[in-house]
Amino acid sequence: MNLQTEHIENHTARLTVEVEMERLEKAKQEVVRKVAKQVNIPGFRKGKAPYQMIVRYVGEQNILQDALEDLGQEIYREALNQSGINPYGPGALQDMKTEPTLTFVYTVPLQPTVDLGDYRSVRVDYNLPEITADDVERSLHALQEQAAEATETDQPAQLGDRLLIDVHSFFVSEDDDHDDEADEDNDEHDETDEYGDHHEDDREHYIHQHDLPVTLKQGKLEPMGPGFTDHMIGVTVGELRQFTITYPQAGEEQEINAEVAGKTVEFNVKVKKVENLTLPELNDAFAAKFNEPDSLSDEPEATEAAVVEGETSLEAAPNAEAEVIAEVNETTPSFTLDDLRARIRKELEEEALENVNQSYSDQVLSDIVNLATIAYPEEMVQDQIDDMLKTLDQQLRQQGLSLEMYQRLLNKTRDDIAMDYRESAIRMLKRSLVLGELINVEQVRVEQADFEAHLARLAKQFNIPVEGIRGMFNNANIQNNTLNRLLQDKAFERLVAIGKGEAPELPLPTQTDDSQTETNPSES
Amino acid sequence: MPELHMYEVIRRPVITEKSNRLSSELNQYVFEVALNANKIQIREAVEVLFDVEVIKVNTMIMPAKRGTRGRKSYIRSQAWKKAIVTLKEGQQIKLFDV
Repeated sequence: MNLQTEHIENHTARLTVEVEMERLEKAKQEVVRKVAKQVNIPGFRKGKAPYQMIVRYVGEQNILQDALEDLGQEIYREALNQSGINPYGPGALQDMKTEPTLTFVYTVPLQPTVDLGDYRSVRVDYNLPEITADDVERSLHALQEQAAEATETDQPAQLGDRLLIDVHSFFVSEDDDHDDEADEDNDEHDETDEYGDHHEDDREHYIHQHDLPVTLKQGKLEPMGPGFTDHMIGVTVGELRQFTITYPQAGEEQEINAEVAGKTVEFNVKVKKVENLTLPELNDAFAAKFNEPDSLSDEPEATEAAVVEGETSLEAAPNAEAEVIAEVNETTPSFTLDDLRARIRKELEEEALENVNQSYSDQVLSDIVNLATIAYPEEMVQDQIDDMLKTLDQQLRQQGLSLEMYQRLLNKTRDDIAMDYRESAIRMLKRSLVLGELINVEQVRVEQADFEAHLARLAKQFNIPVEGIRGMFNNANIQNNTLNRLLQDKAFERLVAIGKGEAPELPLPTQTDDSQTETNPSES
Repeated sequence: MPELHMYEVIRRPVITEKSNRLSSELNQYVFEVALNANKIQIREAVEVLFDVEVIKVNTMIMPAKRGTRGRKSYIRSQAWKKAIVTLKEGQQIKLFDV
């Protein structure tokens, strides 16, 4: 056996193996012996027919093919062992010649290698946003609104009123002059007929929602983005309004939903209800209300509304408050407005810290990825894409769709979608490779103590004894998942430390070459 | 009885596990021959057809296989004559191929 190894592009190795002819003969005989047991040749018991007889029955070509297949696999294993290559996945037989000598050519995807480079030198500015009194007041105001008393009215809507609306909206492209044509899709039939021809057009939908509660506000918390409130002021119950809003590019003083930034959206809004909101007074009595378990009851609705409005600041606030309330219940017997403010501030700060840490470690990781030299075979990208498509499929199934239906909707083949995912797949792959290597090099480990701490945290959160939680983690699968997540959390913590230049010194032995080459990407 | 022509004497080679063993170990070849062929005719036919030297010819008539279905009996396979031809050492018949 004569073996040649060469590295080709895409982090793949090519093995060229020359094999003696006798090996082929042997393989053929092996195949015939196996085949003989199965073919029934008259005059002979099974397995007793002579070699030539069987070859004549089965066909020389078939025997040769099977023999080469078997031999190919055998040779592949031997070649891998001899070359000392560490494959990522199964190799492929690229070429095979029987003349002049029996030669197999394999391509083998190699295990990815990651050279982190001087990752310790990565520095990123760390900016923890300060929580101002304004932020606290805004959260407080959101609380106030939840507790507000609503009275239905048939007067025109004013700033601060709450509306119940059906909203249908579309993106309008520049060369599209549908602007003045309405596309109201409410339940009244004459309406739909009137504009029916536009119903199935291919304009992209932005928001389609019935019975959506919105509060007319201006500034940061304006529903649907800037301009919406102005258009809606003065509507009365039952009124139908059509208007277009051209959103500014993101990055200007207001936060714009990335989806609509710089685009024109046509709105069709039908008002079902107008409510005047009477805000409760901000005093200790108001604060005390949030000290009672009952105050939770109107939470879910409000939270939903906030999420739909798509304003991140609003979205976060009610959640934070829910936690506030939960904690307050256990601790403080008498609860003043100042207590509530302090509580909110603390929550906001924690949340900000978490957010910042997350985006910060993200940033550090991307910087390290840029710095690192990563080599991986194409197969890994494909696997990653497959994973992503599988996740997508699962998500779609939860919505009662499947990947096939999705493909039909988008009028794309699976390959098209795979191409769309390719870039992000590569990015994710690189990140997970770097992270895996980092965990390895930095010796990030999850200790038993970390696990215990996690259990204790969960126990406190759900208010059940630690032992009860521990019972839930008896399943090896769940435990592994948790350990993996903890590991990842720790890795991200370390990333933050690296970015700030505060990472602890590593014990020396890890810096040897061994630990750098034997990388296994442990997670995604 | 009209005379048998040489090509009518030998009907077909018998290739079975047993005949295979005979040819490889004893240099004997087995044929199905015409029922009324005699040993001399067989020897002549084999020598001419396969260009070999025959030392001995043994013949036998294989009995017909009969079966019954209900009260009716029938013949599953007709009686036939088998000839085992021993060749001179070193000679072989390619038809048997092994």
